[in-house]
Amino acid sequence: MKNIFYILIILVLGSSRLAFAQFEGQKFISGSASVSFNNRNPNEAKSTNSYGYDFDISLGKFKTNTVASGWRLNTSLAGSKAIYRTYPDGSAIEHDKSGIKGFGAGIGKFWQFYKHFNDKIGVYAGPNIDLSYNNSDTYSVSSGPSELIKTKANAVNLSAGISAGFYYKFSEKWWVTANIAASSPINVSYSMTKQTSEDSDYYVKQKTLNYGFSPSFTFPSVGFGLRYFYGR
Amino acid sequence: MKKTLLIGLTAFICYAGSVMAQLQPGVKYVGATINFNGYNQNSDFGYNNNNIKSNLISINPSLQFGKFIKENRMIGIGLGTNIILVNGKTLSSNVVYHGRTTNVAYSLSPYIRHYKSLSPKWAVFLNSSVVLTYSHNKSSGNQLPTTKTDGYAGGIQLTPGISYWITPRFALESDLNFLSLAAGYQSLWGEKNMYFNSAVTSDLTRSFSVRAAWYLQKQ
Repeated sequence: MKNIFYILIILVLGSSRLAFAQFEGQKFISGSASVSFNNRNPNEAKSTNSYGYDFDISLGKFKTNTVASGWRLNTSLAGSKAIYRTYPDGSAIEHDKSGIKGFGAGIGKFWQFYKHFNDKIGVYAGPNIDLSYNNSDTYSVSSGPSELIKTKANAVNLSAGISAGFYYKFSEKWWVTANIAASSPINVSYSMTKQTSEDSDYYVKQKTLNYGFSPSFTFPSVGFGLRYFYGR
Repeated sequence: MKKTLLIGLTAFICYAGSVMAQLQPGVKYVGATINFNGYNQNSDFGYNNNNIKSNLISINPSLQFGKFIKENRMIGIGLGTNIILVNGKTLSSNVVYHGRTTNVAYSLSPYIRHYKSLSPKWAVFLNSSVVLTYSHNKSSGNQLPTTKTDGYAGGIQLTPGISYWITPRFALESDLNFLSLAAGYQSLWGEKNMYFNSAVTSDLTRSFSVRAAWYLQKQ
């Protein structure tokens, strides 16, 4: 089986007759992780803060020398403590809002088909499916009658697309990857938004289903990534 | 199976390496693409018990037929439709307002296309076309008079593009908007407009729509 792929690759490349590393069975991880915390403590006012995390991890495995597939997992959270002042009837009311203001989680499956140019450089392309959920609470002070408006949003998003990139192999364990082009022809999202006022009985509830099919592609702003091969 | 694959691949490489058979006189061409999008929305206004339901759907299919008259040169015709349907229903103080808008545009575009092959699998082309568009708009509602508007437009357009052959008969193509040139005349909504637009950009971050294309040769 390996032999066949070897011959195929040589045939495809025609001119190049370099020996390639075997990728079959290799597992890799790539992604990003961030955690933040900020605190502001002014002399003349109450302290405020914000915090959050964002994890986005892809785990993949080479099924054969030129085909890899894997899962993408991501989750994020944002929270803060903030103070809003409204003047519903002329006098100031202070609203102290603290807690979690946003949460998101997603899962995706991807497939990548490779063309290895030589033992350092190659390109890949393949389809991906992503499902994500996000919620957020945002506060704003309305103009006119000064009221504190809370907007609560829940959204589920399903998309299917194709992406392409190239890689450069630094070492056996580390690759650097870059995006070339991306396309997400299928998109479906459902969102529920509710706006309520803390100072009156104003509210607006909105449910929206968005869908689209568009076979097109974009060249993304170049995104570089690192990939680590583990096991073996 | 493996053997077939190997022989097939070898044959394909030899074949593709020899001559750009897709761009020879007599080859027939069919191109097609579609995109659509839409939304359904329901809004409740708690302070005055109003409710608004609305939905929109927009569908854009297009077809192209062509034939190579000499090497690297094709003549053909493009047909396109753009349909936008909007429905709205408002409930306010126990009165229901319905509204519906239909916007349909048909386009007919005879064209000449020049190809330049870059490799056995890639080619660039320049498409020069005359675009004739007829559009029809109708708005109606239970509390509104029905209005109808017709319009037409005609112009010329110059667009470059790129083709990638997945198999000798099937390719994916994209019109590239790095360079565009359009001039024409438009009569719509009781207004008559002349226009001339040209644009050059090196911006790669916009989106390019993809079309499926078949190059049909006599065997």
